[in-house]
Amino acid sequence: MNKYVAEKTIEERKQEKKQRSLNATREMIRVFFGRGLYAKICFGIVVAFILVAIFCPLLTPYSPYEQSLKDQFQTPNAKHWLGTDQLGRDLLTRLMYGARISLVTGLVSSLWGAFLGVTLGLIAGYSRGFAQHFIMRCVDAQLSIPSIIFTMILIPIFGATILGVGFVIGLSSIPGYARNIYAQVLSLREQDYVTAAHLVGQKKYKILIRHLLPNVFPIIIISFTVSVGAAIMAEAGLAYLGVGLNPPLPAWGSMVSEGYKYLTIYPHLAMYPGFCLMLLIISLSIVGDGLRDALDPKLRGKL
Amino acid sequence: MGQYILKRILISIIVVFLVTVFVFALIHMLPGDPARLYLGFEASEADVQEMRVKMNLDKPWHVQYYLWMNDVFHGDLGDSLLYRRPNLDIFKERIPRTVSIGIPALLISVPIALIFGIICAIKRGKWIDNLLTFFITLGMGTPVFWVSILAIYIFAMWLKLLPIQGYVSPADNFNQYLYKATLPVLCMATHMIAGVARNTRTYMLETLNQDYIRTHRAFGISERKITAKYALKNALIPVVTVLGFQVRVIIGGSLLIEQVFNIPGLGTLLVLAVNNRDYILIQNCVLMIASFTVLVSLIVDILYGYIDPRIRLSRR
Repeated sequence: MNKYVAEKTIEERKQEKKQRSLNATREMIRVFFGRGLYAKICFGIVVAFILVAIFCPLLTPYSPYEQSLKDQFQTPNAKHWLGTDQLGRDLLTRLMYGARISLVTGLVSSLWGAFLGVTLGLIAGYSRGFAQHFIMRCVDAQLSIPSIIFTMILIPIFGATILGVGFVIGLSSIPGYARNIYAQVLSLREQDYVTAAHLVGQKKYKILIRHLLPNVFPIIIISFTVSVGAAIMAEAGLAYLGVGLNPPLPAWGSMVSEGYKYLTIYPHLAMYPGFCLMLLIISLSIVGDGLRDALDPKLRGKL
Repeated sequence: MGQYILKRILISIIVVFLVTVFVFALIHMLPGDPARLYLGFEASEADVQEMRVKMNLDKPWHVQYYLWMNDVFHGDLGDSLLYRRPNLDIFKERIPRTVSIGIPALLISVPIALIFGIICAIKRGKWIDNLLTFFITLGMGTPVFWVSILAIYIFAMWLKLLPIQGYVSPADNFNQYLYKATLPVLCMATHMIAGVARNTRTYMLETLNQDYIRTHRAFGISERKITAKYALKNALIPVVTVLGFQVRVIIGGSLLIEQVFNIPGLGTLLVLAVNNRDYILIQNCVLMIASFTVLVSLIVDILYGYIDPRIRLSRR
């Protein structure tokens, strides 16, 4: 009777499933890189910055801290490819170490902010009553203080180190995550599968972790890529104001701030770190856009 | 509508209360001793102790919170440790300067941003959309202090059209104000155009994909009329909330722009206060800024409910 129905062995099914997930991955990569030359170049720039940040001690013979006053204000030459700064330090070396600082603070703060923001958003979205309102009102309260002011006040408490600054910027990114996740969970919790899970008697935290978390995952990834760029920008702003990472740490923001003093005579001191900052943030945001389209085409242009 | 407004006001009051708790906690976590700071490092321990009692720092924290709130409600924002003057006088002197940069920037950026966003959405995928989107991405990804420095380099140092730094109040000398405030206002505006234009584009595209727009097209109504008469009205509703958000952008941006252009406004004051640990000034300044942004978002919410009845019914 079952002559015409091809019986699939378990092995075949496994193969098929594997093939399907492989196809989905391929499709994702195709969409991600299918956004034209523009997106490919930006992806290359981000990768280049990451590689430089990881391998900077191998790429340069100089130290970013070692001063040599006789080499002050050199213009680009064979020994110092981008010239030297007001204390005779090699500018290219400082830029490379600056990439490390920017990317590490961006990453640390976004991971930390995502963890806290997603947790709060999930709890607020899923629980009804006091917790929901309390969390969202706290988020509103934090949002009413401009984030640069919020971070500026918190940094003296946690210390002006890379970890301290990353931690504080992460705190300031909570409202963004929490609000996005909250809105999503609010609509997800009305879905049938959540009700079904509830009816078979699954615990609340299990529903949160097993059913709701995977469904907001694309949003987490997208918010994450946006917040890495925003965090790098925030870190640079704080360093520029002199309330974040301080010299001699080669943070791009403080390099711009120091170079600004010599803008009339030696514009390259402020120009190079500024352009690096711009290049990295813009590339990150374009890569983020590509990732958004690849992960969830429905969200195109929404976040 | 009355119920909606009442609920919004109540929520705003709760948010402001939470802000006071936040700010109070933050300031009290800051390292350092305000009394010691006020008297200087040469002061004797006994004097500092006396000062602490005078500043109510010896009392339990809930009493301190009550005393602070009591002062605020009586219009007393305390004395600055740095300037040795009432904070209120300092704020009164500084706020107009920040406003005189922020309001023109808002007025310039909003129409431009709306036009950019609408053009992008209508001409989606055409060269003009690509060009404007490129500029929007550029604007979003450029830190505001870097925009300012580039502008100074190009317009002040290279073309020598405008001054590098400085500020004159419009009340004192309007021509000088125009001359000196042009660059900061334009930098602030560029900073804001990108965000608003991007949001406008998104909302407009969303609206143009709605069923009722398709129905209008099916009826043969001209594309121009559809966008001008039907799509625009609906697309601009969410933009109102984005505009409310711009107040925060202005205040945040003023910190950086005022620093670059050396404008003695609220932003430079805050940076100075944080660097010198002027606790009382920071506390009251942040409270003032936060209350103001909450007030603006309250007004925006009420406006939003007024324009769009769906909102006020769903949020009841």
